[in-house]
Amino acid sequence: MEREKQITYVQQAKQGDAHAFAGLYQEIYREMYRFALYTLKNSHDAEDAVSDAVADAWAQIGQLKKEDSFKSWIFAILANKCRRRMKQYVNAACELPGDLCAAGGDTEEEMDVRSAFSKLKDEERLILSLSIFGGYSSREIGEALKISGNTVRSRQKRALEKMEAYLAC
Amino acid sequence: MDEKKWNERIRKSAEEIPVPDSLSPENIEKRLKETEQKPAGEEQGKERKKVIPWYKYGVRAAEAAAVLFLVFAAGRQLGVTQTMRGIENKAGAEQKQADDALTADTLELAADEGAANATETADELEGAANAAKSAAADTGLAPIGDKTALYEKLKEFVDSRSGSGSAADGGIALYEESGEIMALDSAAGMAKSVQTESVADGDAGQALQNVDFSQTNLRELGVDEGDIVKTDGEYIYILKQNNSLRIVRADGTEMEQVCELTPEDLSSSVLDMYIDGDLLSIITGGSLGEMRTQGDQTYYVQTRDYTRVTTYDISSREEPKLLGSMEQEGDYYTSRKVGDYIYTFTQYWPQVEKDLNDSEIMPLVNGEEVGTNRIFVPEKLEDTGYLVISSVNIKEPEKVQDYAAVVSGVSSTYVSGDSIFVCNREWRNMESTEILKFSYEDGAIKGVGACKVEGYLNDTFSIDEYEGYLRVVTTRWEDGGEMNGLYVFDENLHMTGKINDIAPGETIRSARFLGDTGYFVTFRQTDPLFSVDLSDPSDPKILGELKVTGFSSYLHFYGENMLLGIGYEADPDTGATQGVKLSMFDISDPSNVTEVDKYVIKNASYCPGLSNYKAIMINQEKNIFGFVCDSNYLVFSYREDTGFENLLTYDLSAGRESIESQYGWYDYSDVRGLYIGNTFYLVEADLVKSFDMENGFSLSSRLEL
Repeated sequence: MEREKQITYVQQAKQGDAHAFAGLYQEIYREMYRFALYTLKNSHDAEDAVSDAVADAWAQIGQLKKEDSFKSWIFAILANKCRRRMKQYVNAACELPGDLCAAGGDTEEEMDVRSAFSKLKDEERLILSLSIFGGYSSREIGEALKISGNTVRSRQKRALEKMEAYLAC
Repeated sequence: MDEKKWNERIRKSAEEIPVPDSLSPENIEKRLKETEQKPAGEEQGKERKKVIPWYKYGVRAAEAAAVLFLVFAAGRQLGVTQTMRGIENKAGAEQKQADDALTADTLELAADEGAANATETADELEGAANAAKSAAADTGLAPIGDKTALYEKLKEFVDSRSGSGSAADGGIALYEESGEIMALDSAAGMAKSVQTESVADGDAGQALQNVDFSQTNLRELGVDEGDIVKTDGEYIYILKQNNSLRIVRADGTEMEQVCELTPEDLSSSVLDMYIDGDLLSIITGGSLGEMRTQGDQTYYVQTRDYTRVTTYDISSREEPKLLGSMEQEGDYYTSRKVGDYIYTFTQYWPQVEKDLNDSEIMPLVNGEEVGTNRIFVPEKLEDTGYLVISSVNIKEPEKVQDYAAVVSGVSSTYVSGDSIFVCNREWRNMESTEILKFSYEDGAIKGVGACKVEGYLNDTFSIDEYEGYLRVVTTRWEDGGEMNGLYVFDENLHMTGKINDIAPGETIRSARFLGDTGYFVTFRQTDPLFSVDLSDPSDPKILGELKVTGFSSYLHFYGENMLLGIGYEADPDTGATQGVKLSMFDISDPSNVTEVDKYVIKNASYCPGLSNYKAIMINQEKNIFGFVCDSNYLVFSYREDTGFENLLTYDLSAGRESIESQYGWYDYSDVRGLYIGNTFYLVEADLVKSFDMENGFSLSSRLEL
């Protein structure tokens, strides 16, 4: 969406225009869900997380000052929802749920990658998801998670190396 | 490892996953129409109604010993190696003897220490019972002193957020302005505060044989900072892609790797290092997993992040000897070295569960839980993260000299010659920043006070301490637009003066203070460079405002009357950037600053040094500075009569096609330039190249790492 349009939508949303907000949401809702799903490994939790994040964003959009940063702003809200959730539940080494099949059926490759991804640690999944689905740079992720950009990069690298190892066998 | 390819694979694996209906834009729109937006003020109103008890556990004078213990050698160049070993000659031999003596002392100390660790320190602290209660015992924030109380504060914060919370929450953590944050008596020894002058770098390392070499570009003279590449005039030390440290002997244009050092714990990354004569300290970070069970059926993995400072004796560069290490929990944030002490800052995130017993809220320092008499908590939390600060004497590397933990996070730190400032920005609105000051004087760390300033700080140069006064420039939002302010605080962080309404509609892009004068740049479409007279703390005055095109993102005093700016050129009508720009300003008359030369690298846009000043090589005495710009490394000098001179433009991407295809992209932000005598060295991820400065910077040799 062009910058001008986004700013207009944000301004309208601030005035209570739900349609404008939905227009902004439409651009990114798939990525938001994928982000939450890959991070939390549970489709119900992911749905809740996105839903909560949207509710918060709607309530607080009046305070969004940088009107061309809707995506990173709402992703930050979502990332925090996910982070809190991860800390709350016990990670019993569960895989991404098996009911996640695409209508046309998954390729084996897709299933393998998801399975390997699910074996990563919480924070590794969060960092990779922020980068891949949220489009954040390492420095931005570092700022959001309050760790250094270097730490982000090295964790990212380690996580991907792990996945490579998982998929090699 | 082709990261880009992997990211693509992961992204693709998600493409076909259906999104639940409830989250479709149509359904969301329906839901939102049924929900009223809460007016902005309401949430904050709710917060204010909550009465949060004011913690006054008082100061237990028995908590002796400094949080941070400092020994300055008066007049010594801090963080700079003055010795230059090597070449056989009388001076060299004498110095070698001196160095050997030092080594012997060091090893002796290490032996004596035995199993020194934090427990010992804690005992000492408790044991040293002294004293008079601190005068500020009854005011301000004191250490929380009680684990249950700490847990309750954290839980209250977490609970209040999990319902309606988001990344962007309201509420500003408040440390009272006049309060003393902590008062700890020092039982340990004397320290003399070093006079740090906020002058331009004037000190290249100087060796006996008069070979000069470049140093890490520091925020504050006298306060050393770690970096990925360092030199002591004879060797170059390189952190290679977070996994190992390489020591390279540099002899003019000839180079030879003499050592490869990997951290003890192979799963950790090498993040930073310090060189001090024959002592090398490296900072590593990693995580340890432990299996925990919960009930019968389920297990989970608990990971602890830790940061370690390990010191080696490198009198033999080929065979470093491990002397010892200390460790603290948390992600590495930053560090500083002043004299023999390294101060390590980490960020720790507690796990707050439904119950204190299931929670993990005490970070470990050297394996021991921190004492509650060392944890400082504001009245109102902004976040649950802790900033853990520890100090270690490199001559006693196993022992934690002292430590403290400050709850509620940190967004930036500034360490002057006398004080540590921890800044905590209210993220969402970027509307205010809280600044906590700890002084280290006579060995004791005292929480001096805290203040809140409107707006946010652009970077660490926007805050500066001089002769006890703190000067801060910020940008804030007001009435739908930007506004800037300059504030002066006294040593107790009471505001003494301010200019509240500078450059509306613009934001601060760079700042630099020098004694009684400050310079800062704001920008929207053109760049005013403001000069401020700070000689009267109660009445700061804007002396002048120079408008030039573009803006500087980094300012550096260059010689007595000059100020160098590195930044961007911009179109004055649209504000769009057009290239990277160097400016030289004549500041002999601060009320009438002029731009005497400029140099534009057209269409360049990437300059990593502008967000990391350590990546810039600069020494105004030698009249040389260098930095990465797009895919080149550029070196310049400046002369009054001829202006900027480009000494070298080196294409970093040449011959890298194979590497680029392997990684998909190449990040030049870790490239460093340095010089020893008349040889210039360029350190890239896996290569060091040497250039002859007396021969037009011709490429002389290369070393693969």
